[in-house]
Parts: sequence; C-alpha cells; structure tokens
Amino acid sequence: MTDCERAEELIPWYVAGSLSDEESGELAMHLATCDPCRAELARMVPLAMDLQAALGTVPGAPTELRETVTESAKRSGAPGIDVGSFLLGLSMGMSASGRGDPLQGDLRILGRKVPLFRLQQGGTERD
Amino acid sequence: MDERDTLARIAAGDEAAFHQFYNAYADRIHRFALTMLRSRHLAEDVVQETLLAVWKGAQRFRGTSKVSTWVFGIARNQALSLLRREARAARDQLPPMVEPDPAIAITRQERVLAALDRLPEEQREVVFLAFYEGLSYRDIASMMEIPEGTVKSRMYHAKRALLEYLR
Repeated sequence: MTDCERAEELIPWYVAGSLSDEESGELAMHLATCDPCRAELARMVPLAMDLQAALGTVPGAPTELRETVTESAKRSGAPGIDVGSFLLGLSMGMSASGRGDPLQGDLRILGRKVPLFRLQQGGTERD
Repeated sequence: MDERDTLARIAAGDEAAFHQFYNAYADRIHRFALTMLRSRHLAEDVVQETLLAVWKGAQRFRGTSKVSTWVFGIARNQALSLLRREARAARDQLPPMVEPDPAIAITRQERVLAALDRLPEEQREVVFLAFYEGLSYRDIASMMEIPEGTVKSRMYHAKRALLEYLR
C-alpha cells in the first residue's frame, strides 16, 4: 500500500477524530507534502460535518418508550444471580447493592417476590 | 458520574442509575437502529431490548472497552437479530428513513440522509458509529468481531459513494 492509499484510508477517521496520536501524526506528515491527499481531506471535512448534522436529525426514542422500558425492567426483577427451581416455581435472587447494603436476597414464589433478608454493613437484617 | 460507575450501580439494582443510563443512551440507540433498520417500530424494539439487556447484564461489562462500544455492540446484535426475524421482503417494503415531500425543497440534511440510505447496511452502520458516535475503527472492529481492515474498507467505499451521491 502506498503512502497515499494509506492516507486516503485514514482520512475519514482523522476527520472523525478517532485516530490514535501516532496515526494522526503519521497522516499529518504525509498531508504536509501531498497535494492530492490534502484535496481529499478538503472533500472529507464538509462531508463529515454534513453527516454529523444529518444524523443528529434522525429521531431519538419516543417519549413514551421510557415508561415501557422502565416497566419492563421492573418486571424483569433486579439484576443479579438467580438460583432455584423454575419447575417448583421457587427461586432465590441475590444481588449486591451499592447503597450501604452489600447483600440482599429475596425469595420468589411463583413469580412473586418475597423479601428474605438484607445483610447490612455490620450485621444481618431479616425481614 | 462516570459511565462505568453508572453501570456498576445498575448491576447493583439501582433504578436511578438505570434512568440516568436511559437518558444518556436511548436517543442514540434509536438513531443508530433507525439508521440501520429504517423502521421506527423495529428501532423502538432495539432500544427496549438493548436497555433491558443492560439492566439485566450490567455486571457482564468487563471494562475492557468503552461503555459506548459495549452498548452499541448489544444494540447491533439486537438489530441483526430483528433483521433476521423480519422477512427481507417485508423490510424492503418499509419506507426510507426520510421521505421528502416533493412539494418542499429538499434540505441538505435530507439529501445527506437519502445518500446514506443508499449505502449497504454494513457501510451505513460504520458511518454512523464513526461520525456520530466517534468510535475508532479498532472499536468498531472489536464490536463487530471483524478485521480492522474490513472496517476501514467499508468506510472507504462508503466515503467514495457518499461523495459521488452528494456531488
């Protein structure tokens, strides 16, 4: 691959701002001495600006989706490790909490969450 | 708050952290999915499934990549899964991402989106991730589990085509 081919390959990433410092330096040195590659850079800059502006107009998530996702997350239960028997409809979930309760657990009986225990810093609290 | 800290809080079941994460990513994932799939209905499914996967699997983030690379990797897998599920014929009948009203002069942004829409899907997603999300070719290659050269090649062809379409 020639220097110009490599430069043309790197220019989009250079314009997007995601090249490593080393690659940016390598490209800048080439651009300093190569008119065709500077012209390629000059074509790429407005295209990149157009793309960023245009992609920003693609609609974001609809407002009502927030509630749907939040409710689905709640229904799916707390993140953590579930163990137990689905056949019996029993499972015990344990998860770490970052708010002073290093460990908490619950028992699920046929999908209903029953608080079981909460291990707090310095002791165990049973519900 | 650092995104990695937010993920750690989500892994601990912190709903407020999940809301914060939703605010940071829902619109971006929707734009990505809409750019890829050209269907609002499917894009909403991708947002929902991706963020639920984050809620349920935040503890699986290993910290070896940027959080955004991890999240968009999940979103991409969800989008590809939906694509497989949907009949290709049905997908091809979906309206383009932007349908300009012929009575209204087309804006530059609409022209750019229309040009983007003409690219193959694998080039569109690289363009989105590079120029809108600022991911490097290394990040994208890692996310897609393809060689870096393939990512650069897709970008090269996308750039050539876009410059031609927008000439």
